[in-house]
Amino acid sequence: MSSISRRRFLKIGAASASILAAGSYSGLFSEALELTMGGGQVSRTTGKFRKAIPSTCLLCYARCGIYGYVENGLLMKIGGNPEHPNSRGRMCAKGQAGINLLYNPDRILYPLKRAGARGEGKWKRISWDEAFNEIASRLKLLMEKGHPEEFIFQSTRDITTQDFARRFLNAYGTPNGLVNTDLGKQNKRIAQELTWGAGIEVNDVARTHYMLNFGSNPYEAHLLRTSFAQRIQEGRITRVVGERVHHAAKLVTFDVRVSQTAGKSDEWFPIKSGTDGLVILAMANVIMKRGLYDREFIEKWTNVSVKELIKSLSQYTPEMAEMISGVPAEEILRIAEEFASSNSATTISTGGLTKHYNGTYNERCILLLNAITGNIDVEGGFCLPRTYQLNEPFPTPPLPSIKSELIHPGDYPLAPHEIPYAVLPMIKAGRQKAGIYMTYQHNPVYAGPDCSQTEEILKDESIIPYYVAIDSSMTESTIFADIVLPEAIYLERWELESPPAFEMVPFISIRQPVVKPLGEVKSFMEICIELAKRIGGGMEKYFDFATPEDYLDAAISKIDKLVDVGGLYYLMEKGVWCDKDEKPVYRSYEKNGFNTPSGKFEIYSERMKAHGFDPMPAYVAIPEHKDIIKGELILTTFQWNVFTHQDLANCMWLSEIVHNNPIWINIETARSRGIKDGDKVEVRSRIGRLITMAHVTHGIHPYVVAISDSCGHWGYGRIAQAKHFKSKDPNTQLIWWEKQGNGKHPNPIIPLRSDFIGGGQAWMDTVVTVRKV
Amino acid sequence: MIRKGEKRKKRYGFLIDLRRCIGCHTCSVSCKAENGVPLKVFRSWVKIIEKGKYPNVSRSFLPSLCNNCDSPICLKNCPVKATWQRNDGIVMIDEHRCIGCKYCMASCPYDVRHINPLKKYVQKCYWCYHRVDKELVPACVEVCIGRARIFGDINDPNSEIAQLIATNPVQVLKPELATEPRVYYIGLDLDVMDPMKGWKGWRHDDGGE
Ligand code: SF4
Ligand code: SF4
Ligand code: SF4
Repeated sequence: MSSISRRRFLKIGAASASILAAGSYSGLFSEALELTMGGGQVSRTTGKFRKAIPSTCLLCYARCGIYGYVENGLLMKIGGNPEHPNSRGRMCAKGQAGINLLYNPDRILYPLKRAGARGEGKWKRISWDEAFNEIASRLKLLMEKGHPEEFIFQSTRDITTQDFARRFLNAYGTPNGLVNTDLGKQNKRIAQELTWGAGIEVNDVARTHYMLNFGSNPYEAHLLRTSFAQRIQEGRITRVVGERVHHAAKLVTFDVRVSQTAGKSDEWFPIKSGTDGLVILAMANVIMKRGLYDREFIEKWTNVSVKELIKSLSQYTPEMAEMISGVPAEEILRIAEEFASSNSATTISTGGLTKHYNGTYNERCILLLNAITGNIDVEGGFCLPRTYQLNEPFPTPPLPSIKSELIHPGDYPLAPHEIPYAVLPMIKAGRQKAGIYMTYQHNPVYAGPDCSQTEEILKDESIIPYYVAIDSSMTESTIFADIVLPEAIYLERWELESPPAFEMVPFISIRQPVVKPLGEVKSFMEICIELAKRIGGGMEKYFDFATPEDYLDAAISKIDKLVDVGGLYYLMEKGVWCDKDEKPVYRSYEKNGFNTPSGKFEIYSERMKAHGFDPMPAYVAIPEHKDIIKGELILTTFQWNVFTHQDLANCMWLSEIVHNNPIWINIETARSRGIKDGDKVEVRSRIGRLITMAHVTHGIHPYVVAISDSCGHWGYGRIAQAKHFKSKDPNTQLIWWEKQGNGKHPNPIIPLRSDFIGGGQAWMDTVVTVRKV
Repeated sequence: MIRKGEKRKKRYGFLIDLRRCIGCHTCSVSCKAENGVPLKVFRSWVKIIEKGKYPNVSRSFLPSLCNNCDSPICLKNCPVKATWQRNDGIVMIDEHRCIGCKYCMASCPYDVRHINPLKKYVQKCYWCYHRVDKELVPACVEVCIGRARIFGDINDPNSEIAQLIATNPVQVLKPELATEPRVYYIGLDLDVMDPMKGWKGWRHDDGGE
């Protein structure tokens, strides 16, 4: 990669100036000599421009465009890539701290083999050759015994690498690849696939006139975080776009807690946990009854009629919704009218809506609301995702013919995407025998519910006879592994990404090593290629790639326009490609209909009916909340703006900002229990208890308490555990929050509990008691 | 009036449009990354407060950094002239001259100076002058998610910052002190300015040391 030249640099500058003008208030200043927004970085001491390597962040699912700025082979800084169509040069605090992970003193840099009892933490360094041979021979044995399905693989993210993982698992012959593991969006995905055939929506917030938010906190955490939050802010400001004036959109939030988003919304409505669906249905009822619906869309593109809708929704009165949710009926009425009478409007919703026992139903209600108001895939509305499908290089392995309970659990007939946190308990229950359990970037003990149960399973060699963990450092789970393979992190490896495009034109971005991988770490793809070769038995022919780049090259080979401009070389140089001639087109469904059996937007779902679920968007009460007794509270979890829910606490710049996670409790609720701000309290659920500090606030529903789920690591790196220590980096000695501790993880007291349709973990439903200790 | 061909004196200013800020702390972290700022101290920080009584609750943010004042009292109070001001207004500290006496820290009304815990001299935000000199915006401006941070030449009437200042009511912190701060705010909230209100740091139990 050539280092960034001054000329090219000025070019980027000019481009960003024009973006700036379009997004600005007046556009007048475009003649001014502005400084460049990004795409370059200089050394503080020499003033020289650093080598700039474009790549893609992966510290969350948003996958922003970045530049790695490198000097003498060392990564000095991560910056944003202004040409990335989604993130447009911006990043979040996490992305900025990625360098903390790369050079983390607790990274594993060599393959390790267990040298003591399982979980004892004794390790022996081994060579890759030894590691590969051992794993390959065991995998081979399993295959030869005719039980490839006993190879169970689980990883956290749904990315390009997961295509590769699928390929590996298919070639090996096991159906048990659990590669979509929870991003908390499982219920959302299932509801959406059933209704309109896509797995995620794009909220066109930059162009909308109204944003109605149920339980989402995009200012702090969202699947498409930085790209999304910046557009929400744009939509909320009056500005000139081309010839038009865009008037500031209103943001209304329903949430149990005053998050950054709720606290900055035009209106915040506290709502009882898990009752959002009912409020939405009541809104839909109001809209139908008052004739504020979009008749054309309903009659032409959905599979129900206006008449049927009016009839079936009439049971959900605002008064009934008020009784159950606590949201005043007149507010439900008013917001419904505002939403329906806006020129364009979109809902925003994530975990607060879907991480419940009734999450799939709730998401169906959201889809309904957008559909009846005609906001589906229109400018400023609730849009279908635009992405590129990558090509699976030939030859492709056949799908395994063996059926698996783990992948298609009989009790969740509509959840074809596995129930990630139930995997280990299902193995324990004998629903699938495990021979080899392999994880990649997955920490089921910490990330899942009921941590001690997961620990016990992983510890038990009669349940999990052999455990291979591919990870960048020791975690609460890898400690139980038999072999740990050191993973090349996102700054050291090759991948392709095509996240849903906010500008409605799909694009492809590349992840490439910005530095030479540290120590002996290898990327997951390299590991698969080598293992396939050593296992043999026909597997190797699907992995005839000298390097991961070869695979990527083949993966984009069918996108002619990209190939024309240089293919992978173009991506390596620019970081991202999109078809400049393609213009955003809304109402894309008009071409081929929706990707559902009827081609319609299926408000009425035959598939749900066939399995005994309500075919119409519906509300069911959360069983454990129905018989809640006086004094009991509902525990919810959330993420701070500097964390995701798993592995970033080892970044010192982030942990310095948030290292503690007291329990949020409403001021009245606290008073009635004699709890003052900062007091030690005991939080008890039916499976356990924890002691933490109280954060007494006005910003939470009186029946709800909240603990963030990013702190309180007990088996991750030293920084995540708030320890100060000596290392090459003098900063590790300055860690000053050791006394304050690293907080308490709530998951150990959250039982395994799934949505009864989608199977996603019901993170927000746990009933607890809280008392001063 | 500046005639054609005449050189206008550059004067940098910094504007934070709080209507667009999402309180994400990207600015706080990007500063650490850009300037090698050690743990324990911040040159850029976002104060977050919660306001109101249930159920009428809201949040306010106050990103803060050195104001690179036009009349920097820190400069006047430095006994060894380690603090000096560039023509474009950026207030600098000569790290070789600084004797670590902390007079400037005591005199800055904005509490934005700190002793580097590893090197024992005083440091602060200097609007990434090393970047600005290469025509790059400061690091925190580059990545600001809300595009709430605008940096530029306030003497250039066509610049975005000058335009925004001209067309919006703007505020500065502690205007009564005659320090003539050059960090402007749009939509500044009175409560978040009050040092006694809200959480001291990000969380009420923090605040550095
Ligand atoms: S939002 Fe932040 S963590 Fe997520 S991809 Fe973007 S920069 Fe990385
Ligand atoms: S980066 Fe921008 S949006 Fe985020 S806290 Fe700082 S000023 Fe606010
Ligand atoms: S904000 Fe403080 S340190 Fe910065 S120039 Fe003003 S007086 Fe000096």
